[in-house]
Amino acid sequence: MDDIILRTISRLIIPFIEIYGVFIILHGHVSPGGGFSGGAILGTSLILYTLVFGVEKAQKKFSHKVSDIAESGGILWFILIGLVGIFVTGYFLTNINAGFPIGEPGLLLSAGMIPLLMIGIGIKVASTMITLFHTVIEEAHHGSA
Amino acid sequence: MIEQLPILNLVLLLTTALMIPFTQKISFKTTKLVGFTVLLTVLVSTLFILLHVQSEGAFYYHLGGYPSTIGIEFYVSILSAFFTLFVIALGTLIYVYSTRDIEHDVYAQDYGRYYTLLFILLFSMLGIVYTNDLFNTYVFMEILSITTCSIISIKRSKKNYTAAFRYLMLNEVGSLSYLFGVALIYMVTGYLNIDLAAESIQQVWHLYPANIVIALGFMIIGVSIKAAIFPFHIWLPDAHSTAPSASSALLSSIVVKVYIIIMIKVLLRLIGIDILEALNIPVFLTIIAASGMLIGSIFALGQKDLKRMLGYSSIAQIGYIVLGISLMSSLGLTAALFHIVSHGMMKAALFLSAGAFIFLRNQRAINGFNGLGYQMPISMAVFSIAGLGMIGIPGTSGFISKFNLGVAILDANQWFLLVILIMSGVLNAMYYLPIMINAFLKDNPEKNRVMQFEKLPKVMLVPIVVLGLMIVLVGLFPNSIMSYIEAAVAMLLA
Amino acid sequence: MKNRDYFRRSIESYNFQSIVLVSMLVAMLGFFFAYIINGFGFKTWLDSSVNLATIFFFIYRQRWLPLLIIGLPVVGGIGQFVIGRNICSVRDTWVIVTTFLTILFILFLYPLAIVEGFYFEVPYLLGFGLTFSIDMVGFIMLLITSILWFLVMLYSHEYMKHERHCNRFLFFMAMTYSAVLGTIMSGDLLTMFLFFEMMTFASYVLVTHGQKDESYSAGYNYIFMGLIGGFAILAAMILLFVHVGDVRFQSAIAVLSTLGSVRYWIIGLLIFGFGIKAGMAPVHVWLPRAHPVAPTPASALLSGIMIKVGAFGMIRVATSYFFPETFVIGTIWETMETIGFVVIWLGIITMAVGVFLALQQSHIKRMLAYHSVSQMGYIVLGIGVALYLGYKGAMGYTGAMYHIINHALFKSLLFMVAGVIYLRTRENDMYKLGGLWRKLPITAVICLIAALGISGIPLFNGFISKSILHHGIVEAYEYGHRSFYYAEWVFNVISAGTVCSFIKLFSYTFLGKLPEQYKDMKSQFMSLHIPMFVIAGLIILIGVFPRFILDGFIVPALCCTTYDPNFIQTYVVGLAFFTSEDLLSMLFVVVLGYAIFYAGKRWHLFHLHLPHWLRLEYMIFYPINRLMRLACRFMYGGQCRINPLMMSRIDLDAKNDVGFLERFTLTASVFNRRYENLIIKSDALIYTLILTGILGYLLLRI
Repeated sequence: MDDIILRTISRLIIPFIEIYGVFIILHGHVSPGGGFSGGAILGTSLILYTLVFGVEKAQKKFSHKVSDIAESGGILWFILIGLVGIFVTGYFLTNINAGFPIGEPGLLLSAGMIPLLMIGIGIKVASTMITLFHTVIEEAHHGSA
Repeated sequence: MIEQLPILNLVLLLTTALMIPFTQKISFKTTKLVGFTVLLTVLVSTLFILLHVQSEGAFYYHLGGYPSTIGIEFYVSILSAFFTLFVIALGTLIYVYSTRDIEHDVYAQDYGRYYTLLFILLFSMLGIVYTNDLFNTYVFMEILSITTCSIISIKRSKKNYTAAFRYLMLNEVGSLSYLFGVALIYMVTGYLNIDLAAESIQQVWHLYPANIVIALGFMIIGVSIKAAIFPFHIWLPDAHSTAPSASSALLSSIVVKVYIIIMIKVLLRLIGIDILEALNIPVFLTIIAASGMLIGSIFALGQKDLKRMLGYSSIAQIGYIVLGISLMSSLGLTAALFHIVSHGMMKAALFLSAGAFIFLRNQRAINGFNGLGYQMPISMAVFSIAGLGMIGIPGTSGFISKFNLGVAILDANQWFLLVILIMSGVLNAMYYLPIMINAFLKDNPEKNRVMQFEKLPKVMLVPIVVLGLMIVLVGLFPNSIMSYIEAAVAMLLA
Repeated sequence: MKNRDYFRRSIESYNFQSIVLVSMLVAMLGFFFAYIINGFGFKTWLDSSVNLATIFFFIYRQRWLPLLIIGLPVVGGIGQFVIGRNICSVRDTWVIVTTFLTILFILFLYPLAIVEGFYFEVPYLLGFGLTFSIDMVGFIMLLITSILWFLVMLYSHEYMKHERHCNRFLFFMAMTYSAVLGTIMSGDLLTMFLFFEMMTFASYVLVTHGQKDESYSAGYNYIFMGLIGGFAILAAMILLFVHVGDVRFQSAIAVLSTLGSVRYWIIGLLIFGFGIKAGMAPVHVWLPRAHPVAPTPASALLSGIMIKVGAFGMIRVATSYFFPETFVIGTIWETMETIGFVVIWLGIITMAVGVFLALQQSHIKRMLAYHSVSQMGYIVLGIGVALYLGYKGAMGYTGAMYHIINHALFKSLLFMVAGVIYLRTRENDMYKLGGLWRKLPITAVICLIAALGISGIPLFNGFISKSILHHGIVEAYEYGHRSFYYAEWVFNVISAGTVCSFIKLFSYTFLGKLPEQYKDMKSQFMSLHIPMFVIAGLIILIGVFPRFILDGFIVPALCCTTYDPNFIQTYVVGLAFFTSEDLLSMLFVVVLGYAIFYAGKRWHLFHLHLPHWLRLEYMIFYPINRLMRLACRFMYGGQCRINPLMMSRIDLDAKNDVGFLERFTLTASVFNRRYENLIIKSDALIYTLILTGILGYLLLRI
C-alpha cells in the first residue's frame, strides 16, 4: 500500500508492537501469554511492515536466511535446554532438579527454564508466521505475474 | 544410559530435521550422508533398546522427572521396542531408495523440505509408539498428519493437491474425534496417562458407562479414519497413488500401521477385554474387517493404475490386521502383529519396485506390463515375491500370517471368517497374478527376449533386493520375530 | 582320420549318449530288482561283501538323503540355466545326467522304505519345521516318477529343438521335479502343502510355454483352479491343526471321531483340493485345456506324474489321518465308510465323463487328456473302495496303486507318440491323418503296445490293474451297498468305451489311406524312440510278470497300512491273475468296444457334440453368470457411456466364450467405474452416517 499515513504511523508503531510481543514472551510464566501468543504478536509486527512497505523491503529485513536460522534455532535451543536435563539428572526437560534457578514465583526471574523455552518458542513462532505470510504473497505475485 | 536412548533417538531425529536446511545449503550430498548416518545410529540404538528390554524387562521414562499423574511418560516395552525397530528399519530402507528416486518426482529446491518432512515423520512415529500418555499421542498424531499431508503434496501437481487436501480434511476429522474421546476419558477418570486411566476406568465403569462408551466410539472411529479401515478408507487410494513413490511406500507400510498400534493400545491397555466384550465391540470390528477384506480387493480388481491398485490392496490387508485384533485372543493378536510386520515389508517392496518401474520406464498402467520382466528382472522378481506373499504362498511371510490368522479364527469358532479369508486370498490372486504373468510370460512390444539386468541406480536397487530377501527369510524362519511378538502380546493381555 | 572323426562325432552324438545312459539305467534297475527278490543270490552276496556293503550302508544311513534328492534337480536346473546360455548340447546332457543321479539316490532309499517310518525333520523352517518321511507307498511313487522323468528328459531333447525358450522350460521342469519329489516325500501336511504350491506354480510356466492366446487362457484356468485347490488344502490343514493339534501323517482318528461334522469338512476339503489336481470330476476342467497347449514332454509328465500326485495326496491323507493306529475292528471305520461311498461314486462319474467326452474329440492330445481324466477315475474308484470297505479295503488300495504305476507308463507313452506324430506331420487332428504305419513304423508299433496296455488286453499291464479294480468293485458290492452292482456295469461299459476310443485312434491315425502331403516323409530312427522303447518294454514286462510288482512293492506297502492282515494274505497275496473269469470279462469288454466303434463309424456318432449350454462350467456357474450379467446391465442402465467394447462383451449371448473369471473381473471393473468416484466424493456423508448410527446405538443401549 502506498499511503503516506500508513507508512508514517507504521514506522512509529512497529517498535512498540515488538516490545509488547517481547514482553508477553518473557512474562509467560507470570501472566497469561507465553511463547505462542507473544511470538504471534511479534510476527504480526513484521506482517504489518510487509503489508505497508511491500514484500521486497520486508524480505531485506527478514530474509530467507534469517528465517531458516530462526526456525531451526528456536527448536534447537529448546532441545538443548532439554538435553541439559538429561546430563544432570537423567530425564529430558527437567526443571528444578536440573539446577535451573527457581527463584520466587511471581517474579520475572523465576520458574527455572520456562522463560528460556518461551524465548525459543517465541522466535520460532514469529519466524513461522512471517515466512508463511511471505510465501503466500510471493505465490500470489508469481501467479499474477 | 540405555534408559536415555528412547528420548535421544527422538531428539536426534528432530535435530537432523532441523539441520537439513543448513546441510542442504552446502550440498545435497551432505544431506544424504548426514541423514543416512543418523538413521543408522537410530537403528542401532533401537536394536540395543530391544535387546535390553528383552533381557531386563520394560521400563518407564518420565519426561522432566514429573510423576506419571501429572507428567508425560514413555513406556518402553517389548511392543514399543520391537515396533520402533520395525519403523526405523523400513524407514532407513525407504530413505536410501528415495535419495535417487525423488529426482524425477520433486523439484530440486524442494529436496531439503522433503527430507525435513521425512525426519519429522519418523520422529513422530517413534513418539507415538513410545508414549504412554493419551494427549501426547494426540500431539504426535497431529504432527504425523501434517507432515504426511505435506509429503504427499510436495510434488506440486493438481492431483496431489486434491488428494492431500482430502487427506488432510479427513485426518483432521479423525484427530478431532480422537481428541474428543480423550477429553471424555479425562473427564471421567481425571488422568491422561494410559496405565492410571485404565485402573480408574475399571472402577468408574459402573458409574459413567455412557461416557466411556461414547469416548470409545469416538476414539475408535478417529483412529479408523487415519488407519484406513473400511469404510473410512476413502482418502487412501488417491493419496497413495499420487504421492512420490518413496512417500507412498512410507505411508502404506509404516504410517498406517502406527495408527493401528494406537488402536491396540487404546482397546487393550486402556479399556481392557472384559469391558469391550460387554459392549459387543469385537463384533463391530469383525464386521468392518471382513467387509474391508472383500471390498478392498473387489475395488482393486477394476483399477487401471498400478499404485491405485496397491492402495486398495492395502485396505484389504489392513482388514486382515483388524480381523486379528477383533478376535480378542492371544492367537489373534499374534497373527495381527505379525501381519503388521509382514505387510509392511511386502507393501514397501511392492511400492518401491513400482517406483522403479516408473523411474525407468514411466510405466504405471497395469496393461502395459507385457514383457517388462525381461527388461527389469530384479524389480519384477521382487514384485513377484511380494505378490506371492500377498496371495499367501508358503515360503513368504504372508503365508505365515495367513496361517496364524486362520488358526486364530478357528480357535474362536468363527468358521465363516475362514471362508472370507480364503475368498480374499483368491481375490488377491486375481489381481496380482496377471501382472506377474504379463511381465514374465508375454512378449514386450519391442520383442527383445534377452534378459538384461536393469540399469537402476544401486541406491534404488539395494533396498528393493533387501526387502525381497527379508520377505523370504521371514517366511522361512519366522520364529525369531514370533518370539518377540508373543512376548509383546503376553504383556498386552496381562 | 575319417574313422576317428566319425568315431568322435558319434560318441558326442546325442543318440550314443542316450543309449549309454539308458543301458546304464536298465542295468541299474536290473541290479535293483535282483536285490529285491534276491534273484541269483544277489542280496546275500551283497550283504556279505564287506566293502560294497559299507559304502551302501554309509549312503543310505545319511539322514539328509531326502534333502539331497530334492536338491539335486534344483542344482540341475540352475546349472543348465547357466550352461544353456552357451552350449545347448552340453546342457541337455547335464540335465539327463542329473535326473539319472536322482534315480540312483532314490534307489538308495529302498532299505529305509522297507522298514517303515523313516522320519527326517528340518527344524525351524516355516515356523513348525519340515518333516520328511519315506515309506513304501512313497517309494513306489518316487521310483516311477524318477524313471519316467528321466525317460521324458531323454525325449525332450529332440522335441524341444523345435521350440523356443528351452532354458526356461528345462529350468521350470527341474523345479517341478523337485517339488513333486518333495510332495511325495513329505511327512506332514504343511510340508506337502509347501511343495504342492511350488509344483502348481512351476508347472504353470510349463503350461503357458507356448505363449499363444489359448496358452494364456488355459494357463489362467490351470493356475486358478490349482490355487483354489491349494486354499482348500490350507483350510483343511488349519482345521486339522486347531482340532487335532498336529499335522503329521499319523493316525488321528481317535480325536477326529469325537469331533462331529468337522471331520467330514476336513476330509471333504482335502479330497476337493487334491481332486482338483487329480483331475477328478467335476473339477477336471483344467485338464483338457492344459494338455493341448503344453509342449509334449510337459503334457506327458503332467498327465503321467502330476495328476498322480493328486491321487497320492488323497491316499496319503485318508490313510494317515483317518485310519487307526493298529488294526482293530469296530465302529472306528464308520467315517471312512461314508467318505468312501462318495469317493467311489465320484470316481465312477469321472470315468464316465472322461470316456464319453473323449469319444467326441478329434484333437489327439485333447482326447488323451480326457482319457487321463477317465483313468484317474479308475484310480479314484480304487481309492474309494480302499476307504469304503474299511479294514477289508486292501484290494482297492492295491488296484489304485497298481493302476497309478500302469497309467503313468502307458499314458506318457501315448503322449510321446502324439508328440512324434505332431513333430513329423505338424497335425493334431486325427481325422486328417491316416495310413502312417508305412511312414512311421516304429511309432505305430509302440502306439499299438500302449493302446493295448490302456485297453486292458491280457499280456499287457492294463489288464492286471483293471482286473484288480474289478475285483475291488465286486467286493464293494458284496460287502457293502447294493448300488455298486450298477457301478460294476458302468465299469465294464467304460472299459469298452476306452477300447473303442483307442481302436478309433489307431485306425484313424495309422491305418487307412495316407494323405497327399505326407507322401514324401521318410521314416527315421530318432533319439526320441529310445525312451519309448524302454517304456514299451516295461509295459510288456509288467503285463507278463505281474507278480513281481505286486510282491516286491505293493504288498510291503500294504503291510504298513492298517488293513486286515488275514485279508491281505488270502486275497491280495494269493491273487491269481490270469483266471478264466477275468479273461472272459475282458473278452466281453473288447467285443463290446469293437461293437461301439463299428456303430459309431457306421452312423457317424463320433461327430455328435454336446450342446453348448451343457458344458460343465456353464452349468455350475450359470446362475452366477446370469446374476453378474444382470448386475452389469443394472449398473449401466443398458447404455454405456464409458466403454462400449467392454459392454458388448458382457452383453452378448451364449456364443460368447467369456470365462467365469474374466466375467467376474469385468463386472468388478464396471462396478468400480460407476461407483468409485461417487463413494469418494461422499466421504463426509459416510463418516457422519456411521458416527451418528453408532452414537445412537450406543446411547440407546445405555
